[in-house]
Amino acid sequence: MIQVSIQLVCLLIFVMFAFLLVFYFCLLLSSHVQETKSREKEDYKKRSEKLWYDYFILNKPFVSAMVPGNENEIKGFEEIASVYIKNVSSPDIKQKLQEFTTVYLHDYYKQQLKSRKRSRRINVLNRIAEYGNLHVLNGTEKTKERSRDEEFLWLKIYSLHAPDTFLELFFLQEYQFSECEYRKIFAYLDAELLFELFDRFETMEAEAQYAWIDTMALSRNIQFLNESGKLLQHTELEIRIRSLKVLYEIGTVEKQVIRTFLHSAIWQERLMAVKLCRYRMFKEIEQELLACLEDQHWQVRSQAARIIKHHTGGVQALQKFVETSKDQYALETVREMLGEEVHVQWSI
Amino acid sequence: MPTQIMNQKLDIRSAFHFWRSNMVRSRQPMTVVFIKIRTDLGMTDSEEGLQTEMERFLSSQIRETDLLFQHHKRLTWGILLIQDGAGEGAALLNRLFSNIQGPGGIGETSHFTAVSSVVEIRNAQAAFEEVLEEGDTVMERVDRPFGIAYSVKFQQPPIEEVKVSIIEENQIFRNILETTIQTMHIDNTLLKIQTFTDGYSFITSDWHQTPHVHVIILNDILPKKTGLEVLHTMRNTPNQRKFIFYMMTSRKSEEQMIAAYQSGADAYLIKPFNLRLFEAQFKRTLAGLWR
Repeated sequence: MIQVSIQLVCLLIFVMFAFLLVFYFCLLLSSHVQETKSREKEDYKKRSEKLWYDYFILNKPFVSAMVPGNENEIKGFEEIASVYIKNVSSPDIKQKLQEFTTVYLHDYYKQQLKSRKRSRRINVLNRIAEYGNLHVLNGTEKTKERSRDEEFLWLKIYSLHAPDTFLELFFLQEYQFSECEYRKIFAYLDAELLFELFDRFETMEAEAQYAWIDTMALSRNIQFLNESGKLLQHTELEIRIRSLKVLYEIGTVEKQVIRTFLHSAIWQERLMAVKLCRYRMFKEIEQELLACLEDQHWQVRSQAARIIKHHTGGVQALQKFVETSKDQYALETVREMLGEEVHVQWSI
Repeated sequence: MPTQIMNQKLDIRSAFHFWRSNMVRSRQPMTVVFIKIRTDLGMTDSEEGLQTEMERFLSSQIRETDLLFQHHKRLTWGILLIQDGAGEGAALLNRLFSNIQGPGGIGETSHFTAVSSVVEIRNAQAAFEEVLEEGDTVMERVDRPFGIAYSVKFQQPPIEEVKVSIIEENQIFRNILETTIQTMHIDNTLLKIQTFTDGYSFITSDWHQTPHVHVIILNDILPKKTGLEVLHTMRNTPNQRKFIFYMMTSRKSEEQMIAAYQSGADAYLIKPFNLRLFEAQFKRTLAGLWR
């Protein structure tokens, strides 16, 4: 049996109690600090919210009470600014935010950007992307290796606020981004810059190439018709398919393009070509579409039946097809389509 | 089969009061046009002939919904245009005068001129006798043959209370919208604004249980009940036509927009949106309540 003196037990209890007491006071202090920070931020928001509204919306003069006095108040300012950026569209507000942050928060952001904490640097880059206060970045270009996330934000900032230097940065950077990230970067570029990017299309990563094509499709800009036409000749299948999608989104296509891809050996290309048939007169492509009803791939057959049905006179053409065709798969698809209720009809 | 309304002896005064009540409910103005013949005929027989001829002419020119009545003054008539404004009244008079003076018109055989007045009514306080008097007074001002005078006396509609609900989770943006709407000046409208942080608190409140026109500006993403759920719930309540929905979203999804319109949204605002544009849309919505 272990024997412990009563003094030792008392000492242990005392030490533990003292430790708990110190821990408790630390927690109390930390909670007090957090509360103070939060209170300062909320006080600033409460104090200046109306002033910012007057300044941004009613064009009233700037007042010094709007300038945040410490880091906590800056957090309050950032919350207010973020609400305006995300909800209110106004070039005036953007201009005012850029001027304000350049004049009053330049040093703070510069210091944060040099921080050893990555999260702080990322936060500052996100703020710069919102406010466009690019001067903060001056002199920090070569200071240290940037992480992948930071590089992405740099590209985003330049695509948003300094498109002239974007291309240089884009082709110099060494990281590879996902398709989604490239799309986010390209989304802010204007058509002119996208055309410039196209000149160096072959030098881009595959993900960037796909994202570039998808950006064209999203923009639905008829100016890109020529570029997507060129990409239809590309050796890579994925690029050709995505380029066909661009034509589908833009909503115009040459008959010859349809004919070429309807005879492709790849079913995805035939499928896209069938989809594109909705933009041509039914009479022009009737024979080709009816032939697609007997395609070896069910998606092509089904899409062809759907497209024919929605064309004016298409239902009659399908009914005639049922009477004459002997292809059981095709007949099944067509009958299924004819059984559906007709929702939309269009004519060109 | 009897076709007469048994419990009503409908004269023009009763018809006027009936349509005036309907005017407030439907928010569509009504107009009374007055036509007075000025002639130098001294003989009673000729005047009576003209009276009969004009009555026949006017009856043939008006629509089935227009009510023609004889003014208590001689050679003067009124036409009550239901759910029409002063513009339509003036167009009718111009057409009548053109047909009177045109080839084959009664102005070719009888020598007379006419004057007229247009009294547009948007105010439920207007009494029939007051309208008659106003029509007369205004008509006296006409100093040329076949001229038209206009009265604005009853054009001012009553001040209408419109409820506005802002359902938005973000407190700062909620305040921005509230202040923007509070500072709008809209004629004859009293805006009563209330804000909500989530869909559930709006639905369970009694704020929407009044007959007032109610503009609801709501975000698509909300805690507890989403914007679409609120829209669906409110559109399935009785008397739901009083609600005007402005749906706000940060997503540029066409499918989402279609779904919102199909559920009964009246306007769709994609964030970030221009507050001045929103203000113009909002004012147009309220101005559109009165035709």
